[in-house]
Amino acid sequence: MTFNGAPILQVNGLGKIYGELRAAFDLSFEVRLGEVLGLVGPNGAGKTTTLRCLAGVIPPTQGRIQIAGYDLLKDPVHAKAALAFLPDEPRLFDYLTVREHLNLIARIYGVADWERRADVLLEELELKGKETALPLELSRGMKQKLSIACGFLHEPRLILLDEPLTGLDPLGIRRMKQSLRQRAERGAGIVLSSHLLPLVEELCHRILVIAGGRIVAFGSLDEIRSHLSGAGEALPAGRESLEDVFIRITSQSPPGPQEKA
Amino acid sequence: MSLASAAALIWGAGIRNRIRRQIQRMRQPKYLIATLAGAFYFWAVLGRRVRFSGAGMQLPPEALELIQVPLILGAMISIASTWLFGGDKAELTFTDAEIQFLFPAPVTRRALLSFRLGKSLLRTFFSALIMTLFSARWMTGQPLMFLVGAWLCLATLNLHLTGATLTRAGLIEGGRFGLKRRLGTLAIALAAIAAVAWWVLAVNKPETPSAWSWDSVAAWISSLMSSPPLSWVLFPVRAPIRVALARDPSTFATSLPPALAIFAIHYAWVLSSNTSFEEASVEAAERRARALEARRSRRGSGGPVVKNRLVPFHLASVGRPEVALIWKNLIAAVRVSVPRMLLFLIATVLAGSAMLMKRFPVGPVLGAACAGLVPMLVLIAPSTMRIDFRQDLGQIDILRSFPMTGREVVRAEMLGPGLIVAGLQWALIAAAFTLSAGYPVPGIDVFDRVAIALSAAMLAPALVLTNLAIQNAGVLLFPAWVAFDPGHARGIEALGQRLLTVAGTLVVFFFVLLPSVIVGGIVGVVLRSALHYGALLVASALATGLIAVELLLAIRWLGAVFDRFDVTAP
Repeated sequence: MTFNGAPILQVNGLGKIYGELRAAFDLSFEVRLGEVLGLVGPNGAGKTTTLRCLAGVIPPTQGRIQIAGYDLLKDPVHAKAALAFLPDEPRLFDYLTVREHLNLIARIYGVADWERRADVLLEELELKGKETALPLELSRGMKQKLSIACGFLHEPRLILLDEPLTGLDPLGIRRMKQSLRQRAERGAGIVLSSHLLPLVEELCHRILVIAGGRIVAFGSLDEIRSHLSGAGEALPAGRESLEDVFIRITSQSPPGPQEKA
Repeated sequence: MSLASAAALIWGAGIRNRIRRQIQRMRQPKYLIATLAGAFYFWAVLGRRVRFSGAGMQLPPEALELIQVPLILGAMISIASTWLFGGDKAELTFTDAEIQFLFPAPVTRRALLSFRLGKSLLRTFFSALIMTLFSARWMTGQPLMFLVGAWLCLATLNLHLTGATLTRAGLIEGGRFGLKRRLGTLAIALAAIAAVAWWVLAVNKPETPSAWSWDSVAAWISSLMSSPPLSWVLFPVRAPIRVALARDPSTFATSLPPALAIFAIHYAWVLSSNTSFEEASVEAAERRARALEARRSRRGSGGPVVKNRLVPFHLASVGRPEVALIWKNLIAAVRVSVPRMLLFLIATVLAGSAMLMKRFPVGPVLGAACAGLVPMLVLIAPSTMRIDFRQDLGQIDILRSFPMTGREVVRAEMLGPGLIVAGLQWALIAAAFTLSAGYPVPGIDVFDRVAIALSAAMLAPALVLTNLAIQNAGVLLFPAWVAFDPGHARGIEALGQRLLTVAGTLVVFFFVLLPSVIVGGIVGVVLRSALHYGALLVASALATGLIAVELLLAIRWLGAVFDRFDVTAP
């Protein structure tokens, strides 16, 4: 699928170095409105570091990130106003109730009709009746849902998700997938990092495979498949799944987590 | 691999890795400096006292006899309270990892219990070692004998409390320790105490207090504890204490066998218990894990989260985003019970001042107490009101993802606690002014009083915000130094970190205030003859203005630090 919409995320030469370790190196890609990009890679590949850099949570060592046309480093407020970042572990304030979390987010992002939107989200995420609960009174899955509700409240144009289905029950997983699809159809750009390769294959239009902090494959699954066959790789009979492709790619890429700078 | 060798591996590797990690951390200068500072403090305050023999003074035998009394009483109270009021479940302390790996492992329940007992014995040995380092010299001058004895005391007591817990839980599990039996046990215990008291007063009557002396009291206590039946009752408690207090090898040699026998009996008793401890231990471990997780997520804000409906004000959905963070932190102040310590401080000072009211009029005494609390809050409140970056360090990645500038976030984080303390200070200043209004002070008229009150009302919040800025700067510049995780920094290094933090705060506070003090002081002295107390008002306004400028610059700088803050940095 080709996306002709404006790019919501542009990444040029992104790098992140910790001491002597390169967690991410020379990453360049873009995500257009309505596109879902899957970010996959082995453990320690640099996925979470990349997402955190994209969200403005940690400063990159080098490179440029543009979100909705705003430079994340030079104009972080406008850039961050367009995005939502959902980390793998829900980070909530212990002393705020479910509804107070949404109220806080509404003020920070200036969501005038937040109460109507909050009601819809609470219904959608099965948090109705839990409005006055504190996070300590919620299960792991419910916390994840609250984190998702907070992320979606301001209708972000770019959604960055790190393992978004962790802790959700089967119904929650199905609803989450539907919700992500709908948001992409409504024009949001989505970057989704997950080890659940069937989920990535199902939802994502393009896939970015990183290993050792570098891009080792980028494109649609078909493009990656044809690239591999063009590179002389013997493809097995029938269509390869993302899992097969992933294993072939990452087994060729440099081993170990990050490289030395 | 047997559980014994697994235990040896766990403990040995644990100690080795902890030391290795500590050494690795010391490669970073800040941790090295902290360790050195902690080690110096440890040596300066405690270490110099550690000497075992030689010229030191040892306690006389009479004093050693007397010192047994609180030790025996302490042990008896622990034992009685565990039997009478201990928990209903057989909770033994296992770590999460021990539960995960050892509970499903192919080992017997008895082996698991042995592992737990071995761990306790190891822990009590280290406690005995510390006691020996600091007490052996002045008590007996025999460190090795003291170490053996102290360890036997602690280990036997620990075994007894474990056995009591298991036995109680077993009885409750079997329905044999209901309310009637508990009341019966309590009645028997009270009757035993009454019998001992009667016996002491009737049979072993002490001398009249006027005839008391060290020697006579020691002799009476010695005869009391050596006379049956009390000596029989106390024998299991006194036997290991005698080993610890032995002053010569022959006393040690004669005291050791009975103490070892009592220890062995206790060990066998605990090991023979059939009470199921697994479920309760797992529940206890989960409770500890939840509490630790809550502490980590709040990073040292302290206290449990209380659910109530109190919100400081209605948060509109549009407007300056900083207000949302202030609103959040004010809610935290109510729900994490942070201001309780401040309210306790205020209540204590006011209650203390009540003692002076018999001699002085109520108004001025209370007014002076309120006025005195204002500077106390400047120093104490910013350390206790941790509803700022110190609390939000666990969620700093979320704060970083908000569409706010670093400056806005820093300002909001500081204003939450700042507003609460300023409100308290203004209330106290108003109270001091009102309470003392009717009492004339020579040379100070009503305008002077107004000038003093206004000066305090300007300066006090500025000083609180300065202190808060320093506390928050510490978090942003040295996040690893904000003690939040018991496993993160321990021992000498943690002690050094705290010392350096306190010392650093005081030094920075001094230098930040220096320009304001100089300028305000000069202006005050120059204008004093013309304006009297009005000069204080002008000087305070100038000093507050200077502090405000410094605060604005500090917020600007800290905002930039926040913008560059790397949550993943080690």
